[in-house]
Amino acid sequence: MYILAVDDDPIVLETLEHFIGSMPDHEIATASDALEAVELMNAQNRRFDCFLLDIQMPGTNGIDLCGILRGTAGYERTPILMLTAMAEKGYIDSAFGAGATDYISKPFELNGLRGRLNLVEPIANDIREREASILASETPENKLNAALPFVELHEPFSIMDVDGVIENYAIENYVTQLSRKSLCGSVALGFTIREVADMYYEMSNYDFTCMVTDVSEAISDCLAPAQRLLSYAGNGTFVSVIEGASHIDIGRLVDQINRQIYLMELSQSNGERLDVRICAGKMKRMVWRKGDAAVDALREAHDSAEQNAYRLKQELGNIWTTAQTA
Amino acid sequence: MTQIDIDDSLKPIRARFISALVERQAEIVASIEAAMKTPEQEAVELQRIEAILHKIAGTAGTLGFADLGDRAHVIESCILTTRLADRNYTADLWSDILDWVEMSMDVLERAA
Repeated sequence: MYILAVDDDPIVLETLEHFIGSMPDHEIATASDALEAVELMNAQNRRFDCFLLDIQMPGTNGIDLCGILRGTAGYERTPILMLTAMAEKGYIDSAFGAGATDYISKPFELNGLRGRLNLVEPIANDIREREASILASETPENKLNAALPFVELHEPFSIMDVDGVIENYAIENYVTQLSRKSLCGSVALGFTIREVADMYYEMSNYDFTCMVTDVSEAISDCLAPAQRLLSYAGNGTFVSVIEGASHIDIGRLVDQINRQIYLMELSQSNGERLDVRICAGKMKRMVWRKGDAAVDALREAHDSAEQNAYRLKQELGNIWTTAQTA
Repeated sequence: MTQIDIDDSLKPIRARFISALVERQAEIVASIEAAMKTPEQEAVELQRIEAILHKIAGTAGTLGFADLGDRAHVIESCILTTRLADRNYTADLWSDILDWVEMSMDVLERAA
């Protein structure tokens, strides 16, 4: 990967140059602040595959720079690893909210850094392959198809430009970073689009991704102003981490989200109106969970939402069966 | 590359860390003296110290000075939380900063 490291401490940059220079698969360029980083990006003929950003820097800080990169064409999905000594939850929330992929605590070690880079390399490879495929496409229609690759029902995909919505792998990295104390007041909650499989097979790929994106916006808006991060996990299911939400009335929240979706007047490209409704699973408290146990809470929330969607479908079926028997 | 190779090859960066530590330690001592001389400058000087300790905490552990870096991080966090909570800085905090300066002097002596 071609990596850009941004840090105002020359000793950190020198250490990174040394470490990454020893990794045959990677190459590094460095900048001492956000301005220099942007200048370097504009001056390059090559695109960077990955960023390592310090948070506390004079001028534009690393979190704001992360937001700037996410808004820059071609860098919407590029892995951004925050490399920082700021371990407080507020910084971690802001970094992931701005679009960070992962968070590495300083001081770092060679093997730890290598491991994190290896984890994000497949994302960088996927981006490169997709770009190559767009460039190789000859007709505008093929270019559009290459830019919007086929989405499988069960697969997560990237949702851009929705406040509080992050990549599915990033939300796992997010909860892994937080200490037990930081997670104490947080809950994981899953939401599933009801009867999503029927919708998926009846809609075009483009319409399906637009519908999922709109639903993510409705969920994220309804969860605000609580500190929340949400990701799309595939199969019509979203997983969220919400802070201070132990008193939320899930029934009312779901009603509110469904009302918001209704008001959005979602429709397909052919103008046909969509009847989209979501349901939620059970809240999973994250208290005393850390690392893998915190990721397990996300999975439990995911499963619970899908089970509820299945149960609701079955119950609807039972109503008709009962009516016929009677 | 083995861990031993890495340690050897890190020597030039470690040497630069040490020379930067001399300057950073002098800046911290200057801030301590300025705060003693003008108590109303205490908050400003502590913020300067916090920024310097933050940098040291970020690299010391990677370059083989884990204790110095860990201690710097503890003090940096203490200054930050006190500042954000709008509480008064305590004599213990200053005492911890002085202990850290002594610790860094020992590191510099050993490196000389």
